[in-house]
Amino acid sequence: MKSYDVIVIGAGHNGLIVASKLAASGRRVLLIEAGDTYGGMARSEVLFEGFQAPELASNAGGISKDVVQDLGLNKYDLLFNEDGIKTVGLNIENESVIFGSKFGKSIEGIREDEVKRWKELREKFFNQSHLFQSLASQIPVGSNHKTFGSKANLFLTAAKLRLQGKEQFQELLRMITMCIADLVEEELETSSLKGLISFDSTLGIKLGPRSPTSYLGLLYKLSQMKASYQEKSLSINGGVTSFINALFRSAEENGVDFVFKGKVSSLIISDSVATGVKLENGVEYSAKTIVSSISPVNTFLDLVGAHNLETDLTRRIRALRYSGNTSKLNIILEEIPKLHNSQNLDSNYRYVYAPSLESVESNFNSLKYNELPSDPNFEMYFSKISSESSLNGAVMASICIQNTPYSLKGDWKNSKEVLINKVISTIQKWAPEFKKGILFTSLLLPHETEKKYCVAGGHWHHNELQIDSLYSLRPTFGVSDYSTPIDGLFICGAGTHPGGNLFGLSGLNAAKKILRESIK
Amino acid sequence: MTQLREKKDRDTTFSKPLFRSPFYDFFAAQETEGHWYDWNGYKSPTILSDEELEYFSIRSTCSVFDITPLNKYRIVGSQAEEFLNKLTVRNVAKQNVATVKYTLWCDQEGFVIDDGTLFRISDNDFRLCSQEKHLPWLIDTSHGFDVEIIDESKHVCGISLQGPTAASILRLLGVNGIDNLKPFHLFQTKISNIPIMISRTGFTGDLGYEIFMKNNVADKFIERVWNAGTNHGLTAIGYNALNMARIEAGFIVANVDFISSDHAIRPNRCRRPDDLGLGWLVDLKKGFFNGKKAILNSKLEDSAAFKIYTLEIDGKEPAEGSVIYYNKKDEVGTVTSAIWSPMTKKSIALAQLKLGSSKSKMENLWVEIYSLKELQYHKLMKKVSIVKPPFINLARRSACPPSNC
Repeated sequence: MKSYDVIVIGAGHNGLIVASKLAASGRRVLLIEAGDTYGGMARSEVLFEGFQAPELASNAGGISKDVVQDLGLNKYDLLFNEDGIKTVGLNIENESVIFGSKFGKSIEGIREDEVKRWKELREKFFNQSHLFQSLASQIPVGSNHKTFGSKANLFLTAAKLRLQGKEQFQELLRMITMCIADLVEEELETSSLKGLISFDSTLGIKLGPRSPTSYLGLLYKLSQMKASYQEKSLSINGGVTSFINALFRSAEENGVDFVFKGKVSSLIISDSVATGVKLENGVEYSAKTIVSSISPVNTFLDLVGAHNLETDLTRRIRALRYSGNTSKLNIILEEIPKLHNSQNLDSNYRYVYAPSLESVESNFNSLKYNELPSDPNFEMYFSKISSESSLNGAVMASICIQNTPYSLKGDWKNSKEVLINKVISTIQKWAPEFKKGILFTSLLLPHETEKKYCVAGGHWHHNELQIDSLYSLRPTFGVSDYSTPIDGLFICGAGTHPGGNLFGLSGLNAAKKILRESIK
Repeated sequence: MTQLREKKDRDTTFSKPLFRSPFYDFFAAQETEGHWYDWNGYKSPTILSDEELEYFSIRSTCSVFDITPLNKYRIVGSQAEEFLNKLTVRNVAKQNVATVKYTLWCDQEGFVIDDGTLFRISDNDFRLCSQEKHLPWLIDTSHGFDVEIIDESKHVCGISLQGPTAASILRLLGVNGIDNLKPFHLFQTKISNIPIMISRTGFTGDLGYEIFMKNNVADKFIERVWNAGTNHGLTAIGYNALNMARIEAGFIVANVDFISSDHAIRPNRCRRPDDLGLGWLVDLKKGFFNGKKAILNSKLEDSAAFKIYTLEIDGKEPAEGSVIYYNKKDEVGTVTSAIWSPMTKKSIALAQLKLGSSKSKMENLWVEIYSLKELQYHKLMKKVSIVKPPFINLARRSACPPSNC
């Protein structure tokens, strides 16, 4: 049996970060990945005629500055552009709302007085997002983790929020568990603006704008924005792929060994101590430290197994809400389609179809009852396919469809086609030539993501990013400090604090924790 | 039809409608001065005729007690043994087929949820009997194991025959093999074509048997037993008599002598197996089980927790609910169960005491008993001595074969 200091399971971005960082400390690290390449849910797949692109992750905007700096990723051709991505809230009746970068620092398409109200509201949102921002890079204080430093950080976070003034602090306490619908309806009038904010607050989580605590979704997003390069108005050139490649090269250079197409079937555990892993093909590796970057549900129930865990813990893990609710539609087009006002759809824009708050809420209602939304909301990015490819001049549209049920009432067989057609016919309203130029279409549903990317429920965040599963409750209490009841086993995936999108802080925090605690 | 059945099975004279066990009609017919209570949703007797006569039937002839209200869970499947090894603290791999073991189960803090008896009917077929309801806990614990949990509480009924003549009554009923049945063993047989499972177990510290069967044969069965017992002093008893016997035997009851961690609202009320004097049940050498880590860790701590002790008290007054003092001054605990024991002719008690490791404290314990005598309380301060359980040790309990009397 080959032996290492550390085995990392899963070569997603968090897995790569942990592996690279631990290898840099002089540990011998093995990274085991079930798929045939690195990147996890951000990996590139061959989509059409040899053209490769990330099938799932389309947005690299949230990558943490700390991660890039800590691992020195700048060395690996990670270049930055001026962040010019604007968001267009598509609206058929009225003029579309256009959000400038940094979540609408500048805004077009709404009345003057509404602009003023929006700016005030936006500032309030940003001030309050400090809450998550300063907690994100800390190991949560919990039953197992009570260091002075982490407690002090918790105190300072509260103090800083309090120092914004009594009124601001009271406002935070008033707003924190509210629904985003009430907040925008208090202040704003423009239907498409309210739709856009509702969409951004609830994308990827199973809440509607009228669900209590849906405001937290927005706070989370903004804090991530502040912790990323968007704060400096920069974006990563080449997006997701460049970032993942840089991570891989960093890991490789630090001496991480890789095993691809190696699906871990179980951990080798004796007397609550993890000593190695066993792959499906029967190969075993041993290590004193094992770090799982896959979903907590898969880690605890499949790899560790309920027979090694307290009933109290398996109860909580099984009670996690981890069924995915977002599907991904990739369309390759001959050329960039024209809008009806003869402008081009542009790769500098993110297009969001969420015409009103009511529309987002009714989409969510369909999800609740495991039905397809009648008029699905989505966001869409365009990216030009490089000239080296045979598809010269072609363009890829990456579309995230919100509120797609994990288990549909009835059969997906025909519904898949129905969903694709609904989205395309919505786009047709702005770009009448869109359909004509389609070369290739593929839709990845949550249950398909589950299978293809080995993540229980096919959930982006591994489990819901909601009030009951944040900070020291993420993934659940007792395992929120990246350690587990199994000695030598750590978790570092999106299911841990702070989790979420392509962020990377889960991996970085976990690596720090392991460096502090485990024996070399 | 369903409605009619509901009416028949439930007793509407109580504010909360109570179930009636299949033996209800039989026990109700024995009632001369009856008191009934709610045991796990069933209308059950505390006293049927005379508490003391009922008690003495346990010790000198034979008693029949309805144990139908117990929760009975059937655990079947190829991984039943592995599942039970995770659930309970004992090593189930060491439990032979056709035996019964007393066992405990704990939560993640190592606190006792409940105790019960585990019947191993075959390799992959078990029955777990407990005082409290645990179906959700059992089902959640069974996740990941090839095992099925069936709550058969409402489909299986049982009686307990306890006393020196119990074996003779069963012999009269033609139960072959009763002579070879050792304590904590079981076998399946038929009495006049009625299929039953019989085990040499009980809650009295006396010779005795527990017999389980399907509900539909209950009437026929109890009639045979009652007839066979005519010349052997068979007496139907209620809970009070059984309670006296179980205190003498030193057995504890969940939510009487300790609070189940499921029920405890105050965190310091939870108890670990060691605190209940049942640390010997815990097999720390077997693989993982619920509470193992916490139990191991608690052994490293200097434990100052409340523990259960068996006490003898000077004088004749039963000390139920009394407070126990060290040096007549410092409160150290409470009596949870107490009687004046007819067998030992002493006042005995079970109590939760916080004594720490100091041996000297044990020598200087006092109980404050408030004895009501014709409308005036006599406040008594009686000397307490800690003794080893059980209070009684009867040779007939384990004699094999049991004598014919």
